[in-house]
Amino acid sequence: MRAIFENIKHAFGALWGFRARGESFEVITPFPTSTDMYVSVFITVRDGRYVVTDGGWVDKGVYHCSLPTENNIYNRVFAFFEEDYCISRTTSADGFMYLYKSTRDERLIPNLVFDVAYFISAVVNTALVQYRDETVRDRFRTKAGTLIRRHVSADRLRFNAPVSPLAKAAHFGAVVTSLQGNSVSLVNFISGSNYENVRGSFAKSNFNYDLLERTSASRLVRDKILLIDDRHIAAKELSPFIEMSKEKNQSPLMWSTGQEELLERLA
Amino acid sequence: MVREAYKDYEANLAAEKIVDSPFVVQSIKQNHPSSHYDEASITSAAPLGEMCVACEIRNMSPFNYSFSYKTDWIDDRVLARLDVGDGTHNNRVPGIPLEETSVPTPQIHLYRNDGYFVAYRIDGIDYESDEPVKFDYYKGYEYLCGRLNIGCENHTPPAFYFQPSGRLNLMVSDADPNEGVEFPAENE
Repeated sequence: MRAIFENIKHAFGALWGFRARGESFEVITPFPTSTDMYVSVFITVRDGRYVVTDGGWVDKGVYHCSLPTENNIYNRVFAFFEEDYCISRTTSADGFMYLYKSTRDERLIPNLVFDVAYFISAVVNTALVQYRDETVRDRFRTKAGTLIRRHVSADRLRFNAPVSPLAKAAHFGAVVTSLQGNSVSLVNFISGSNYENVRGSFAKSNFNYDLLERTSASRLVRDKILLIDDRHIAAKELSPFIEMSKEKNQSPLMWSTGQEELLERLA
Repeated sequence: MVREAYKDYEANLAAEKIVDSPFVVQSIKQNHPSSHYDEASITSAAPLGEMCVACEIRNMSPFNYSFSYKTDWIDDRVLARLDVGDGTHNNRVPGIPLEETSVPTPQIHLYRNDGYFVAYRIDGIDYESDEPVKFDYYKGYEYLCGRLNIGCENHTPPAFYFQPSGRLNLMVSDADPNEGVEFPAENE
């Protein structure tokens, strides 16, 4: 038991990093961002005052995200963390926002590092949240996207993309390159909260598959999959659309029963 | 390219390669006017499609850049990438012990045999010193060519120049982001 605990403590501790930076130094912290990075803070001494800053990195976009400051909800989230962690702001001569805390008490530097680093992690991660209202369709897309992302490595996966730059007009929910790299499987997500919306979703998918047929990129396509959200609509009602898609060599799969087959086809 | 093609990938990385020399970076990157970007083609006895090395230099800084080893083998894939500049990468891929997930720059990204693109530290660099913030693009290119076995036709080391068109290329260090910024004292 104790050994497991010691390993946990050691591993967390080992995430801390130090980097010399002129008059200041950088501390790499164990606080993560959802953009696959670890947060850094910068420590400078000014007239006996220890200043812990973000180095302007949040505003400079170093964390691979820009803050959605046009969004009122996000601004409230940012203001909440700013106040909760007593963060100060200033602006550099070249116009970047710097976020910082300072103290004259050397013993309290770790407290400041904790506050500033956690604050950065919080405002970056919450900036990645989609703030506009999601529809049923978006939610299914996200759900299905998560399933695929969990089983297909990112390097052969593109969402809402054309097969090739030469056939840009036709877009697909997911474009999955085969392991050999010489063909692609396409997935369109069919969903909607009512019959009319689902019908529209089928129509849109068909339109894109038909468009692709007219281009040379269609030769690369191994599989034309329809992933159908059957949680709101009875499969019986969808049968004319499903029959038609089969005639057109598409592979309709139901969300409730076809997830395994989907992943096999994409493997 | 995962699993099945991994042997080809490994063989290609190890094989001797020849790059057009000198590699001169001078063009402003499309859609990204604060960066400069150019490519130099690469040939090899074990090719994987049309190969090239690409360089992006950000904000005219010799210490903020990426070199990518690319191919058109599978839609413009990056086979390896050296990232230098700000930001510590978090390898969020299966099977890596927590303490090894944090990889500061300079870092090289390579494919693992299960198809994940993973960042690694560079051997011989003292990451706690100011060596990482002084790892300029000359050092970066030299490292990349050595790591990927890239040489020149006449066995001289591959040459690299940054000549931004119409600009003076002044070596500025941006090592200390707090330098010159005023931090007014808070209520104490």
